[in-house]
Amino acid sequence: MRQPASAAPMIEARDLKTHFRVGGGVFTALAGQKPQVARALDGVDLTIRAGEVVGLVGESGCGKSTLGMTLVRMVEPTGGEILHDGQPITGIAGARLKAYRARAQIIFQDPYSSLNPRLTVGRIVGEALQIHGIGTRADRTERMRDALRKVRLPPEEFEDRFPSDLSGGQRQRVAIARGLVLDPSFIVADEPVSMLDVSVQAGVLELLDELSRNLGLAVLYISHDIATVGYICDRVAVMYLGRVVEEGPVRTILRHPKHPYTQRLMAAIPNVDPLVRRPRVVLEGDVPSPLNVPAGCRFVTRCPYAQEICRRAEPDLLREGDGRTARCHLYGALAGTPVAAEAAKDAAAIAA
Amino acid sequence: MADATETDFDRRLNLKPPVRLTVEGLRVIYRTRRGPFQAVDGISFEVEPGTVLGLVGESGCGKSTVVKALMRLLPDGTRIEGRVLLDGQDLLAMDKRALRRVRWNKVALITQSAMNALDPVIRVGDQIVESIRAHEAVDRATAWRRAETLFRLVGLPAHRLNEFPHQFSGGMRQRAVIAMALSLNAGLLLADEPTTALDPIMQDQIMSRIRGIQELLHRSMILVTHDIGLVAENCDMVAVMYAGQIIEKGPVAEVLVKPRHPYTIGLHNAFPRMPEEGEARPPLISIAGGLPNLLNPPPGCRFAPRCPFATERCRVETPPLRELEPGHSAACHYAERAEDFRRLGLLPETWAVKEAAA
Ligand SMILES: Nc1ncnc2c1ncn2[C@@H]1O[C@H](COP(=O)(O)OP(=O)(O)OP(=O)(O)O)[C@@H](O)[C@H]1O
Ligand SMILES: Nc1ncnc2c1ncn2[C@@H]1O[C@H](COP(=O)(O)OP(=O)(O)OP(=O)(O)O)[C@@H](O)[C@H]1O
Ligand code: SF4
Ligand code: SF4
Ligand SMILES: [Mg+2]
Ligand SMILES: [Mg+2]
Repeated sequence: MRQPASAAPMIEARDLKTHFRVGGGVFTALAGQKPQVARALDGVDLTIRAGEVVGLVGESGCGKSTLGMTLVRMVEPTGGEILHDGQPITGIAGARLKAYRARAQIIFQDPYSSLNPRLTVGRIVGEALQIHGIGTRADRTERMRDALRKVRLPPEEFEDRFPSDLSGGQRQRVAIARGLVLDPSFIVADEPVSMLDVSVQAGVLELLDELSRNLGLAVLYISHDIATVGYICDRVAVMYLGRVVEEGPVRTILRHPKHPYTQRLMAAIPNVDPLVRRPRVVLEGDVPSPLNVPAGCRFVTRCPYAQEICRRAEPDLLREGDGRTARCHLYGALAGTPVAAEAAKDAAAIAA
Repeated sequence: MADATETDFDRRLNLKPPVRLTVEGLRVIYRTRRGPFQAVDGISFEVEPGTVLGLVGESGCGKSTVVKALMRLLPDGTRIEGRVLLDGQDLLAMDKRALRRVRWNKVALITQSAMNALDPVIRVGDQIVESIRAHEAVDRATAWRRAETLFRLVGLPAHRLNEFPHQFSGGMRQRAVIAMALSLNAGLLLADEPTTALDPIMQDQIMSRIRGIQELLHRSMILVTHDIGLVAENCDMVAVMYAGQIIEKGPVAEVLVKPRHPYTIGLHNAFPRMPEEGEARPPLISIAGGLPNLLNPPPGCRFAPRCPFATERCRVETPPLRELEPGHSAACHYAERAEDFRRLGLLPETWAVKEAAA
């Protein structure tokens, strides 16, 4: 088993907020409507230590990519703080920001739009070295080739090709190579292996794992693939509608989820054994919008255990004895009530 | 929800007959700067009306090329050979006009780059309406109402039809494209990694909805995915591709439980498993090396350079796809020894030896 990372935090988010203004165009103004605000990230606390891989899971649209992009300063936070290696980086600009961007890399979710179609694979991967003025031309070529080899794209075969004649998975590996080429200290990997089949996925995951362990890289691994999260991550954070609702050691959270949302998430994973029929647990209600965040607990509109207090007050992140935190009244104000007992019974049934 | 549109939509749905797909000796050769590149090399398979075929295999093995060939959506200059029979009609032999009638109406595709398939400057709803009206004589209002129905079907609030693609998250864009592909209710749906960008709950809901439509209306489907769990739950048959060829195919319960081909065995074992609490993490099995260069394919079995069980014979003699049990075939000279292979295949050492080949 991996040693629990005891190193200092490499990256830290404190009450981080990213709100987008939407519909702020001329027409809305003419119609006398106020522009709306999408609270994509709405108070996130998260710590990733050097050498640690933290998983980030949650519904489509809950704010995972926004968190990743905010942490690497590609999107401006509207509130809260980001610390890198103990240094505040929320307000930095100019040369310091450029330096930070070399240390904090993001590998994008969509390998189709994130690769410039007019550049060869070699140029795409090597570009960042040039931008940051690193090494001689020969050094740069060597580092570019090295990065390609790490993702198992033999440079002699791939460096002169264009993204358009690569398969989806090959493009994704190019994107990963580009993220690695600057030897960053923090990487956001936004669905880095979603298009790879498992045999190649395994190699990429081991690579991320190795890099984090050997180079002390802090990794935020965003994925919908719970199996890979369970395998590679030390800890996992579950997001719902702009906030982390449960966080802790990966096996604790995934095997014994406590938050009602995490429980339903886990119940939706298809079983790899075609002979096993999984009980279907449906999640009722519409996907809520960050334009219109419900009062009280964010999950209240879809939670089968919602009580009066859930509509009134947003639960705090409650620290449990097993190293996890969960944001749900069932473990606070509602603890010991019949509804908490009912929830525990359902949880056991889902887990079985 | 029995408003006029939905009834109209339901009736239309029911009018469409199921489709039988037969692919015979399909070959796709891309034109590249370095010469002809044979991405798909003589594959044959069948999709029975109302069933789902899973298509799996390593990144780059040719899955998307197969589904694009079935729609004739490949770049100009690409050579396609073989036959693609939709209810007996050869799609590859059709002229442009006949093709236009069949495409999207009879066979629809959710592309792998779906997230990107939307035009950034047109509202999502207008794009769906346009696509419906390009293939069907309905008025705008009817098409819009159908778009609303479809949005609800994929779990998006109907009012978001008024938004632009950049206002959607990746998963929302993906669902919008799924809605668009379903809007013409083709008898055969080709879904290339349709739910890869979606979270498990959404994936589960959409797959069960697509499955619902498919079962209710007896639709046929090809599901391209690398998620073995999705194949296990949603497919009747599965075909495993390697370097442009089908190397194993059969009923899901057979192929996933008792794989016969060493590549399928490796694929099966590479699936990450979360260790029990306190248990050491088992090493992940990754099949070292990569796909052979198809500009110049090696003789013999294409998996030989990476196969831990390869012999001299494998390097010279091409193993044919042969039936081992009713409906279950594999292309390996030693498929009879699969039980041993499966046992050995569980050990990471088995796969580690070839590292130099990478
Ligand atoms: N530039 C933007 N302007 C307005 N709203 C935005 C913008 N970017 C994202 N959003 C909204 O913020 C929310 C979070 O989006 P984000 O892309 O972070 O989701 P995600 O969790 O990464 O989803 P997925 O799993 O689908 O990739 C969504 O509701 C999205 O519509
Ligand atoms: N337009 C093209 N021109 C030349 N080669 C191509 C073209 N499109 C794809 N290829 C090559 O053909 C092979 C098969 O590609 P394809 O996209 O079908 O793979 P795939 O199995 O869908 O992979 P993935 O799982 O990564 O999406 C790859 O080696 C790819 O590099
Ligand atoms: S706080 Fe209330 S509504 Fe929110 S998850 Fe817990 S029980 Fe459900
Ligand atoms: S034919 Fe030989 S090389 Fe090919 S899969 Fe079978 S044992 Fe391996
Ligand atoms: Mg995202
Ligand atoms: Mg593909």
